[in-house]
Amino acid sequence: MASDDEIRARARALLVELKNDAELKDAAAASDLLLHLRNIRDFSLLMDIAEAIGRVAPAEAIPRRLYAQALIETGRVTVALDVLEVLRRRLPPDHPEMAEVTGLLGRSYKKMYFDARFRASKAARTAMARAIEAYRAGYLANTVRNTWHGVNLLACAAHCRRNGIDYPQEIDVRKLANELLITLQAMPDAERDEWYLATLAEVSLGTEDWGTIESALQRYAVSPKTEAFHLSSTLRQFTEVWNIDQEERGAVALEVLKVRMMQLPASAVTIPADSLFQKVPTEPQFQAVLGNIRGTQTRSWWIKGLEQGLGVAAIRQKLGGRIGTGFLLRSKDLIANERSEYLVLTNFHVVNTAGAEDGATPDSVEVRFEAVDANLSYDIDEILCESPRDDLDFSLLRLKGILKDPKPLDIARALPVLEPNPPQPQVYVIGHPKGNEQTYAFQDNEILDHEGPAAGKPARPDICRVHYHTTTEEGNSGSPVFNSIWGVVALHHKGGKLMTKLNGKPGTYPANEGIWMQSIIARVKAHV
Amino acid sequence: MPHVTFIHGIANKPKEDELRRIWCDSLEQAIEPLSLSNEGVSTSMVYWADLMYGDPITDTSNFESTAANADAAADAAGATSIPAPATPEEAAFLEGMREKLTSRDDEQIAAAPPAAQNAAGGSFERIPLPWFLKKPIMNAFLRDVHHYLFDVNFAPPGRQAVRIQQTIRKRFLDRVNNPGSDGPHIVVSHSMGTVIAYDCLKRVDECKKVDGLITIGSPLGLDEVQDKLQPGWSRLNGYPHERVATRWVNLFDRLDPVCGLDPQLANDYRFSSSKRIEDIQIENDGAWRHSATKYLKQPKFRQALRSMLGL
Repeated sequence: MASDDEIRARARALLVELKNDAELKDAAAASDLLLHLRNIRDFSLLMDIAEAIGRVAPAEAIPRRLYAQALIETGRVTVALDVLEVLRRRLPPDHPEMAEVTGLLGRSYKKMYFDARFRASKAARTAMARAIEAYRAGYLANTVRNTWHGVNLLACAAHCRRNGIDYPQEIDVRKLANELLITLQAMPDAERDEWYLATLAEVSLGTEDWGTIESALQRYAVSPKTEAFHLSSTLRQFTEVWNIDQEERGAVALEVLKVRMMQLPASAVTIPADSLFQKVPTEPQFQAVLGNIRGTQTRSWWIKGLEQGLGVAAIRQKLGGRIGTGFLLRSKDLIANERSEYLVLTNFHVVNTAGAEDGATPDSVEVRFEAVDANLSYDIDEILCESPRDDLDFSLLRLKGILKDPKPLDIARALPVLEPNPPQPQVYVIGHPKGNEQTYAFQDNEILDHEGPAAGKPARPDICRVHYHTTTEEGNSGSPVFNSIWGVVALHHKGGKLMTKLNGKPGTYPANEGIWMQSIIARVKAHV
Repeated sequence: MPHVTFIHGIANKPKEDELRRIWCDSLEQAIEPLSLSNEGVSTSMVYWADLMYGDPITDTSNFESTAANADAAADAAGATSIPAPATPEEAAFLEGMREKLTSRDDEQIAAAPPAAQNAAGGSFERIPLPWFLKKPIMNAFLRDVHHYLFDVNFAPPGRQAVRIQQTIRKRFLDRVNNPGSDGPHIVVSHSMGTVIAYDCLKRVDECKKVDGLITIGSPLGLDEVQDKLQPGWSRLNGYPHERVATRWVNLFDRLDPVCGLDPQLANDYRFSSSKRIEDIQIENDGAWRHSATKYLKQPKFRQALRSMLGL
């Protein structure tokens, strides 16, 4: 399978070719490339190419449909509807793309409904009615092949019934669920894709058969085919459409799936600081969803992860909001022969002695471990050591007063070893995103590259950097970057769409950047 | 930076990189996990299953699972048959090895109940498994070890035949001589991989020195195997001190059929007449005790590896 970078490179080459030659030479290959771009969720590039194809080969249906899908994914639903309605009128009813088009029409209207702030409004209810109409048409066109239309029809009808919204009364939810269940169970193994088990669980929600729901979710959660993207979609569907978080058994299953998702690359969850441990299901509940051994292991891994949150602090402007994140360390892990105390590490550009480079001065900020005590802040006594943004970008703070229930973090001795082939090891960032008061964001990212041993070639021997995938959360400056067993490997300090690659490799990529803790420790030991 | 070189055992396997990841994952799947990657320890795999078997195992969902009810779960994948001996020496080797594994003759094995009827009734002889699994395991064990020790010219259908011992030795040297790091270097070998590791570390001059050796589920205690490791092996000075700088730790389960008959190695591989190998008995889960991943999950294995790596 081609890597994400290879797919993007091929896409850019096709874009140049389309502009230079003004013709589409291989429609099948172009459609295949667009599908790959959709799967890696690079909708910007997908739309650029679909637009270019539309200009030279407007009759090609697949690029047009994928263009519409990208528009939906990026929130431009009404434009997508225009594209899809034209396609629906233009294509013959038996065209292979017709099922996709009707499904996406349903999806567009469904999204309009769920995006609406007031779902009881006329616009929202009309959108839901149209979603049901589109899914129903798609399902009835082929009840064996178009099960995903059927499942969405089921979900929408069940949602309407539960929330007192009008829907065609001839749709019998339980009967439809049973019909879909029979079709799914008869599906040959070879045709069962990565969504099969989630679909089975969803259809079983229609029959309220919790044994089948939990059994399907257990297999789905641990299947090697299931990625964070799949689990995220399922969680959204189960919460938003089916409201299973309203029932105790459903809420537990969702929490366990969330934790499982955190073990997979490219996932993120946000947790209120005042209830870090409140929603953790019990060990038997974990075992019910993930199996005995994996359930126990996953729960203990997650509890240890949550405990790290106790050592992560919000750096706040006095009488103001958050400006960054910091984390608690033991002085003996940083300074040889130093007295035993706790110190806080954050970025230079968050706080520094002179208030330089957009940073605040020490006397203007306070440090608060929100999960320990949301109302207790500490002033900064002094900055023991600091290094500017273009150097190691850190400030090491000594706090005033005696800390309440200090929970210092453990520092990892080494950087994770890079694999010769993907996937690469994962890292976890715990921070306080800007604008989200009293919440922790746990983000899971795949390492892209690092300058550590054995193959790393740092541009400066005293600065060893780590690159990892970006996520949508911002405001994590000063956050700890953990390895998969919760040892701090780096101090997060920046991210961008055009980060220069490490180790002398040519080009740029979207990446986050952290500074290896051992580089910081070496500097601290040399200066303090 | 420390390095671990793995070498796998009998029967068909997933692709090299996938198998290496499975072994690493096994070390992490414990209440007190050992995450080699996060400890900065690099790993590599000496892979030879492709020399003996056609396509690698693709469905790894049950690979070496505790269920032991499928061939991939019990080192029985690959549909091998016992080779026809080319010389009286080979015939004696195969017969001797076979007698260690079963007292039944071919007719009795052929008359054993088919798979579906025998799932629960196979706890006889030393290997408590039904015959539909036991037979392919025995075949894989005899065939793979025979082909290596007798350096048979062999290939799976559709491939160019190669001398098995020479080719695997070369692969071992490629990995062991080029670990890509400068820290402690430990070889972790399983099953027939222990025979290959010992053969190279004791008998191949070009092989570089490593810091330590761990053997798990090893058939090195069998007389037939030891005989074929001469010159080089001797009971009183068989320890590979030439290329193993410090420790050799051997883990065994008495109900592991591959090592169970003669599981302790310290007595058979002495260093200047003295016992040097640390034999450690453990108890794996389930009916099938030979799986590498079960050994790797043992706390005593992780303790040994940790200390040898200096973690």
